[in-house]
Amino acid sequence: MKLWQYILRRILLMIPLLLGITLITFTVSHLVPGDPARLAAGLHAPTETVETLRRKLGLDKPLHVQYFIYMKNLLRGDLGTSIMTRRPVIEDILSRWSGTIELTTAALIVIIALGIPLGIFSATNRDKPLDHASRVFSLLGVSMPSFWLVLLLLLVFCKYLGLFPLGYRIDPTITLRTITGFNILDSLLNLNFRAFVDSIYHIILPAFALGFQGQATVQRLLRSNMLDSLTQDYVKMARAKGLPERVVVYKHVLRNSLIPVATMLALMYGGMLGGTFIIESLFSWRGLGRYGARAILQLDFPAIMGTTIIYTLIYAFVNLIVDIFYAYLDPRIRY
Amino acid sequence: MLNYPRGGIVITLDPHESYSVPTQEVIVPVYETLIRYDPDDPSGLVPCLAESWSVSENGYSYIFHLREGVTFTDGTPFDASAVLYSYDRAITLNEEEGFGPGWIVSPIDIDASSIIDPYTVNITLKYPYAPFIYCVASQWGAFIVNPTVCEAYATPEDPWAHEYLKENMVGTGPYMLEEWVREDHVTLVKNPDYWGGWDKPHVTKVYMPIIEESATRRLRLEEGTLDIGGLNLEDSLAVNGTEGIVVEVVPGLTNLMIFMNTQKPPLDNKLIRHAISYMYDYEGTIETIRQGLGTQARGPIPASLWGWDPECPQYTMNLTKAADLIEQAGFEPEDIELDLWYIGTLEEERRCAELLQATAAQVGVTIKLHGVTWATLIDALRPGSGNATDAVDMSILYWWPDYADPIGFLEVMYRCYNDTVPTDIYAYPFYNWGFYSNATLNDILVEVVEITDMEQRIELYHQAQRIIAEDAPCLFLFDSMNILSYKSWVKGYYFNPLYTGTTDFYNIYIEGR
Repeated sequence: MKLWQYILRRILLMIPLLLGITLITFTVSHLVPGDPARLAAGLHAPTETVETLRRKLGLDKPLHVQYFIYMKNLLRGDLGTSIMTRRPVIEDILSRWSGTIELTTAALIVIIALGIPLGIFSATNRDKPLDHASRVFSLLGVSMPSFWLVLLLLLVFCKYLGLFPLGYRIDPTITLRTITGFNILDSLLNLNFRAFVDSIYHIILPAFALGFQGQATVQRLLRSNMLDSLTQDYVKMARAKGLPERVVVYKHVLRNSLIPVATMLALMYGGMLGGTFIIESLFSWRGLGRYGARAILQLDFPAIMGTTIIYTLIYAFVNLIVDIFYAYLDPRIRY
Repeated sequence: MLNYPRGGIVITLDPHESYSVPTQEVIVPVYETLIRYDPDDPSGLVPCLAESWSVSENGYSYIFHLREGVTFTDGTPFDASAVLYSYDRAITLNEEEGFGPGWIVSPIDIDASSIIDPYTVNITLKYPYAPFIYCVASQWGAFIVNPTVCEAYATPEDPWAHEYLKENMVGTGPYMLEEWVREDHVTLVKNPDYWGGWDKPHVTKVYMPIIEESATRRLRLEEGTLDIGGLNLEDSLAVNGTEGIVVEVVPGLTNLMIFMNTQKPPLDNKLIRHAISYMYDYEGTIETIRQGLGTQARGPIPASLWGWDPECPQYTMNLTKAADLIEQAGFEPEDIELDLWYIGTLEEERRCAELLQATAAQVGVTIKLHGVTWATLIDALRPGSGNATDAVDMSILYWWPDYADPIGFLEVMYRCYNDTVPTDIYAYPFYNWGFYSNATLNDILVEVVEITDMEQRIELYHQAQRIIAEDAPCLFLFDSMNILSYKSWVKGYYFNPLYTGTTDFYNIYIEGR
């Protein structure tokens, strides 16, 4: 099979995937108790008003009919109107996706910047006290639930030490002209230095929280890969040639050990999108995750469905890229 | 410029659609009602777009004499036609589209109402409804919009120009919309032609960023980038005493109740409900949970609302009496096991629930707590069987009125529409979480809205409160106090308990910043 055929097949496979995802999400979200019409009409609205709104929103129809109406609209590219913001879901998503991508990308940078050096360090100092220390650190990372870590970070760094701001993407008093939607990029394009520093200042803590688990995984994976490689014949050969240890480690061992790590990083990117639901909510971060989390609490069905579809697409797309990329990294793989 | 934090996004700018506080914060300074509620005035009502008003003896017809020389911000004069158009719009959008707040003016019979002259309008009701005059002063749905603008932007699909008013504001109020950055901030500027004039010192510009967390607001108030804090109880107490910050306590109209399902054993027994009413530590709640900000409720309506009965019976904690009452009812305390549901994210509800659980345990009664989401709570209160005996035993609810009449408390939470089928949940208004029904009370609640004589109405309201307190369908925990926090250079800041969450910017001015 040629590469383009493979890509086409994968894209076509997304159709049943999306159908399955929409069906499951639709059913599960409608099985949750609660009355979205009442939430939307206003808490004090009388029953007649709630019933009128229920009819308007189509929530009085049987579930399967609601699903078919939804799918029919979806095929036309209409994601529906959000019950909570009263705006088309697609507009809500378009105005928020950049926040999520910015945060997830920053978290990926945290993972690379922490996980890779620590992994190398751990492997090259095997069984020394500092190796143990960094392994404890990584064990902590993989086992600590992210919501708990966030609360801890907020408590220590925001409340007690006052080192970082309590949420938001940027200080509300700073006006930043939107160009791309990515605050850090926009502040550079606008040559707004204050906004640039402030955006970075705001992203550090949530990015750290989102990437903490990932960096630990990367660290552990890299360490074991490198330890594996260090006993290989080609390493013995390199050493026998009299190459300096630095060259052995960085040129031969690290390069080979990084291939699975690179795949892992790409997969993590998709995985972290799920983490944004909690991280964004706790940091008041304006992005899709917070939007989705609120939609769930408000039983805003169109918004829940829209967010799920977009996340599925991003996830599937990232996976596809990884698979293609893999072929370049490892020439033995053919489709 | 006044820096004022808002708690959430503006969903719509249409005053006949908006039914959420963060949206109303922007609507109230721009749109006006015919009259306004003023708790300091003996009648509770003061003129706004109407200068005076009268009610016909049969209670059907209201004549409003309108203020002359008022214009909308596009220059169109305000007159009687705007009043009829606005009420018609609010009612129709409510009935046809399910928009939230229009029900407030729904007693109006638009076809029977008429314009007497450009500045006199006769509003006729479908049925006599004495609280109507307070509905006109509500901050929900009773706003006057500009018919000229609406007609210009109306389309066959959208005859009320909802799409236009959703995004644009043309009111008669002291402020105009300068900028609305969705989900970020709103800026209001003064309406130079405002009928109230700008001779006295007033705030001329209001910058309203969304800042949800109280902790962030507090930091900003301290550093002076916010003039009004809008802080929660904990942060307000923390900044109290800080130089340059004023913290002020004012009475509110919100109260908190724990409902008991009066259709479901053992709570269908009045003695048991009395026993539980005697189990609660009301004083402890005010001292520890409310930090002194509030008073124990006396009956179902808050003490700061007219019609409140100072003689209404009140329960205090008395565990011996509670135990005696349980015995009298023929129960063993150990046999009583009740479920208490509350909204898990509301800290105050949780603490009140835990307090009741602790004191009940001292008597031997078991109370199981369920902290859930609002949606789950509603579901538990509306069982699929439609039978009240399948609903939860106990539930906690905050209430605040949409308009300043005690009926706003009594009708929604204590009325039964059909007392021949008391276990049918559909016989009750949505918020009668105690499924409580009392035939005498139901009659009073019908009569009290039909008569216009204030003294008689107050007397009926007193009777109603005593009946409810005696039947004890719920525990009346407290009437809340509100806490304001602002920079000392902010003058004229005033809290109107009915207009919760919104601020009268026009009377604020800055001095000595």
